Amino acid sequence: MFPRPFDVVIVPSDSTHDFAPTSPPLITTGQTILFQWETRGEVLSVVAPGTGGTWLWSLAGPTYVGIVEGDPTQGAVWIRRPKPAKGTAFTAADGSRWVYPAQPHGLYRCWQAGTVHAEGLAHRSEIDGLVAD
Amino acid sequence: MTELIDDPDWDWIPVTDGSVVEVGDTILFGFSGQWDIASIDTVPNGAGGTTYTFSDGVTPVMVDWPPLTTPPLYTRSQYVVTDHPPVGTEITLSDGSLWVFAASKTYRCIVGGSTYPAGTVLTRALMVP
Repeated sequence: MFPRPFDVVIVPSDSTHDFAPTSPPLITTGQTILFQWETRGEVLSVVAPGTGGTWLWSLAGPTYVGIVEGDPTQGAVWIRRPKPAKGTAFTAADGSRWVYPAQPHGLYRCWQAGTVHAEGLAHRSEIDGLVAD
Repeated sequence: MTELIDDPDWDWIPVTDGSVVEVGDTILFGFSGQWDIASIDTVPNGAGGTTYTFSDGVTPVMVDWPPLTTPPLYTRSQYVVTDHPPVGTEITLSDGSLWVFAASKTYRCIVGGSTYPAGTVLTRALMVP
């Protein structure tokens, strides 16, 4: 990947399109480009929303301190959590059953399909409503 | 749909209720948009690189390249959006690896290179150019 200050990349996933990494010198007119902005840091302070649903967080990143604002219901915010213990079992919001196998790829394994997820591997970030059994 | 790459030590969990975020947590905030590039302007950025301004005729996007040594609050990445190729299409990456597009909408590495071993399965977005 391109040099990045973070070790986490938000990846587009689409059943119809490819999203191939590119760089500004390679972009030409006529192309369709997805631009993606991201920031990550430790939360220094939290301001709860008023009527608009927008939270304010001040973040300390590797080389900056700044304020971001967002409405979590729009799906733009993720929180970092430690991995569970090897073999921990879960049930997701769609009824699918999962286990964390603690493999180097860090993926969860679905062993019983639900209404959304089929059997197979998935990133934790893709699985909604995961609760330990 | 957007996914995050999990690493062996940490999960990244979508936040739907802002009240779960507390001081001391590490969070990631991201957003994206798609542009049909109609024009491109370039000017030196004074830091030894170039500021590219891409526009769809309505909203410009400015990107410094190479990325500035001291990153701004937000980092930016960019992806070319294209239709999936036919199943069975082969592509070669800069590391010398050979990949085939599979019915699962992912690419399978069939000949390893200096970065990827044979058998690796990835979406296009995760593969080096």
